[in-house]
Amino acid sequence: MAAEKTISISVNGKSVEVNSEFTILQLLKHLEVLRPAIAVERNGMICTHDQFDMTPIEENDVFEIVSLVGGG
Amino acid sequence: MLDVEKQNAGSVPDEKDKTDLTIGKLKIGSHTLDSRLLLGTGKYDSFELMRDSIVASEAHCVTIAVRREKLSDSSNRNILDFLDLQKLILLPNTSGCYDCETAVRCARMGREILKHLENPGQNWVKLEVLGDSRSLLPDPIETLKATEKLVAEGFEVLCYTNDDPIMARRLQNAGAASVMPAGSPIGSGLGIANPNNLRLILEDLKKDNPDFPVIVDAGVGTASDAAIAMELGADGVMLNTAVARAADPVAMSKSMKYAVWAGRLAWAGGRIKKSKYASASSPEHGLIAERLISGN
Repeated sequence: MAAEKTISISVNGKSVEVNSEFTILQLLKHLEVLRPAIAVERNGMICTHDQFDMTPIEENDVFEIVSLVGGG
Repeated sequence: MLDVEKQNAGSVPDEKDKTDLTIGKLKIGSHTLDSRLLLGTGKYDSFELMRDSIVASEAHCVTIAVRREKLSDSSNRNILDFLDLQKLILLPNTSGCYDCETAVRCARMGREILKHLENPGQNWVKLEVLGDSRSLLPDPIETLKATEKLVAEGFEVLCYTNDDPIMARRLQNAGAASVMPAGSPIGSGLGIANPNNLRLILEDLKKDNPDFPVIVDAGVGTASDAAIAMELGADGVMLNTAVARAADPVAMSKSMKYAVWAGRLAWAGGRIKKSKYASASSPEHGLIAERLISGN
């Protein structure tokens, strides 16, 4: 079996190597952050939840994955 | 029971006061809040204490922040499990943002999360664009740019600003749903540092629209500060640290509820003018003796 091809992306300011075939949905599952109360921004644009499973990730993508915390 | 005792028997202020004097309802953009006290959800020692403080405050709207999700941390407890989303309207903030672009992105992310929670707070944002990490005072230029941009994107923008009357007017003209001048720096507990500026802001922003909501945000240290803000004519008070870091947050939270009510009632009641001389409360005629020592 051929070795899994990986690509480098940025998630929340950190560089990570992930499977090049991932969709955003697979990425979120892989990172264990797939929850209803998150927002995902890809390269500065909001990625809505219904786009997760149809959007493939690409080399050098910059992701922000955020949720709600206490604040004033 | 005497009539007067019957009148005073209920808790103060009672429901009648709240409705008769519109003590309770606060309209901001498309939202009508049942309380004029807006409470933050940060800095509590525990989520339980936060939840109990919110209940004690009777706040209808609580602010919340957007932060990077911690990766590889599946065990962390979620704040949303401690917020009654059936009752509370969440108000996402852009705290920690130092430029227009970041604040706008943050607002969009907050909206996206609230859409999925199906919370009515999804169309508004408490905009904070800071200019200095020590004072946490806002950057007026970036704040104005972000307000314009977010308004154009359909957000109802509740705009944190310094207590500068000219800036407040600029933000109102830019389409802010509410202007939120700081009483004093965030978390400082210094109270209402410049009441006269707040007077000027209130007078100016309500000149053409008496219902335009002005909410004093930040600086409240204790209940009397909240009451002062309301007595000045503010439509509401937003606070966090004063409750969250109090020795007993639930007690302090309750005190804020009463202070906001008391301040609103005092504003509606209309305070007397200040005078440097006394004005006797008892009649000056019919005294049983003439004054023996002469004076002015």
